[in-house]
Amino acid sequence: MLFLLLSIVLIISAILVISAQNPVHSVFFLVLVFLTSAFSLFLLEIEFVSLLFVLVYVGAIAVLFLFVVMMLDIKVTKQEKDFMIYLPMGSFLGLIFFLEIFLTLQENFVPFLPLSGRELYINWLNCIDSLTNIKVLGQLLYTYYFPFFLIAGIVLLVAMVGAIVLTLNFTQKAKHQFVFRQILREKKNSIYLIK
Amino acid sequence: MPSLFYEEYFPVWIALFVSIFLSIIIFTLSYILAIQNPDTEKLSSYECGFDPYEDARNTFDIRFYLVAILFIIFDLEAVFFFPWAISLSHITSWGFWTMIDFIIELALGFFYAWKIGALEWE
Repeated sequence: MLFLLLSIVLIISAILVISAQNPVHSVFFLVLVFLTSAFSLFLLEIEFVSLLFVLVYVGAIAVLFLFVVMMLDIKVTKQEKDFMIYLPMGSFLGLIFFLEIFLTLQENFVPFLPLSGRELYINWLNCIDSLTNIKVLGQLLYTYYFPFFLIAGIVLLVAMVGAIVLTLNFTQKAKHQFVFRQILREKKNSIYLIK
Repeated sequence: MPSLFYEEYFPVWIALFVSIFLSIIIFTLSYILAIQNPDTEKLSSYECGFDPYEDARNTFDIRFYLVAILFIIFDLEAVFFFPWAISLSHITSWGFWTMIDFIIELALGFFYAWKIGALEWE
């Protein structure tokens, strides 16, 4: 029931993201999408990922989106947007995404289509340990999947260096205030006669 | 399974409802009880000392964006700490040193940003 309500809110706000005339409003609807998807993940007992959604997506990435919207200097779009231009590419990408989800469900969870050759699907309920989401992540991510974790660290490093190199103006140097030099300045080394 | 779930999160549920209810009460009471006497000066947006004359959306320094990006990166680093800290007694010393390597990778970027003065303003 609650899940259904959240899904309805999610879908409506996702539609409003692309149909809102004001870009700032669409960013706010994007925040609403993130929040409702976090709630629905919480209902599916994926607590850590849902809290991560709130922390990273709502807390940081939405701010970046707002910055981008402000930098683009687009005011309210006057004319009706022609959505039909985006339809082929968008539906193609959506189709690929749904195919992926469908194949994952078909292979690993309850199959929609009758399986050929293979006997039965794995009943994952029997495999459930009484571990919480965050414990499972912690026990796998740092040992079994450690190369991916370290690669993620390198990706973050590259992102950081790239952002600095792209945005920073290297020609201007910041003016510093050297406190020790100010304190060491006395009457006898700062007052002198000029002929 | 659901019973455990509801037991665990029932206090959270109560807190959510109390906060929603309380915020609704505060808003409606302040709307009803306060004397509403609007005029143009009260309703216009207030800027100290002069008339508000510009749009809120201005061009601004790119460094705000840089600060936000650096915030995201260290935010993610902090997020990666939580499962590590929870399961530190189960993963071996291998897992411990993996995290140390991750911290070193990000510390390299941090020292780069520090050395080059990325967060300093003229």
